[in-house]
Amino acid sequence: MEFFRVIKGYDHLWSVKCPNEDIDELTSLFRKWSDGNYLLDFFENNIEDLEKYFNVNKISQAIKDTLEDASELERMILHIPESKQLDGFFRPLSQDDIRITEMTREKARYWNRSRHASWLRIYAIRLEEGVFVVTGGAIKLTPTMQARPHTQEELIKMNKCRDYLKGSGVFDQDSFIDYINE
Amino acid sequence: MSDSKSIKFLERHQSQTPSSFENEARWRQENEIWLRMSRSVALSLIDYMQENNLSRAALAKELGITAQYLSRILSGTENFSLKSVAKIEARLGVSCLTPSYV
Repeated sequence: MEFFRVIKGYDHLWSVKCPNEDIDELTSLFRKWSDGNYLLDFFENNIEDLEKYFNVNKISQAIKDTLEDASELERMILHIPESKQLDGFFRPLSQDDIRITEMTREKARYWNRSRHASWLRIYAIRLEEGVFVVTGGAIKLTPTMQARPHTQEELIKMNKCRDYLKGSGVFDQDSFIDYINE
Repeated sequence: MSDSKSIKFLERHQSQTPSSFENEARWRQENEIWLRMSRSVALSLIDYMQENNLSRAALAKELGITAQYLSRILSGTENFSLKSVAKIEARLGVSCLTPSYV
């Protein structure tokens, strides 16, 4: 695994690149979330979840909301060096992770969307106070990550990265929980 | 150099090439206004596809454009001429730069 510093000269946000990928996870996420073709395919394939859990039936509306939320998230990330609010930006993924003091799996989303909750998630591992490694992200339409393959895959990626970091001896703590129910 | 153990580890394992995120994100933010207009055209076409139950191929045929050009339009990053937008609007009978999308 390789790690990429997200903002030049700033130590506290990193993004992982898995060996079989061309680019790091954060770059990949925002390319997808700003690409109308990708979003059209995604929402066509997940229209039932969109209607069932968010009561949105116009694909164009879903894409517009996604583009807006992605833009806000992107702006927040770019402004992190000034705002220094990385710990407030990410929140623990589950109740279990709130109890873990190191290397928790975290999610970030745009918290202030009107009309409906934002479905965009950035997943990261918190290495220490104010230090995060982004492992991926998803458009999460279902209540749990386990409910759909694309969000389940994100859990697997998070756990792989966490295991790699543990295996590399970066951390001493061993109290992690493998199964979460967000 | 940071004293943090985890940052030292990340620095030892960091890529030789920088992440593209920062440059790409700044480009999108700096070009936000015209991108919103381009996306408005894309969203209008997506509405038209959904309302008429059309595939991308069928829409490209109706517009008289190639699948590749339609893909560029739907990406939301096409820097249109006004003439091109007017052509799309005339072909489909829709308004592409609607205030709700822009």
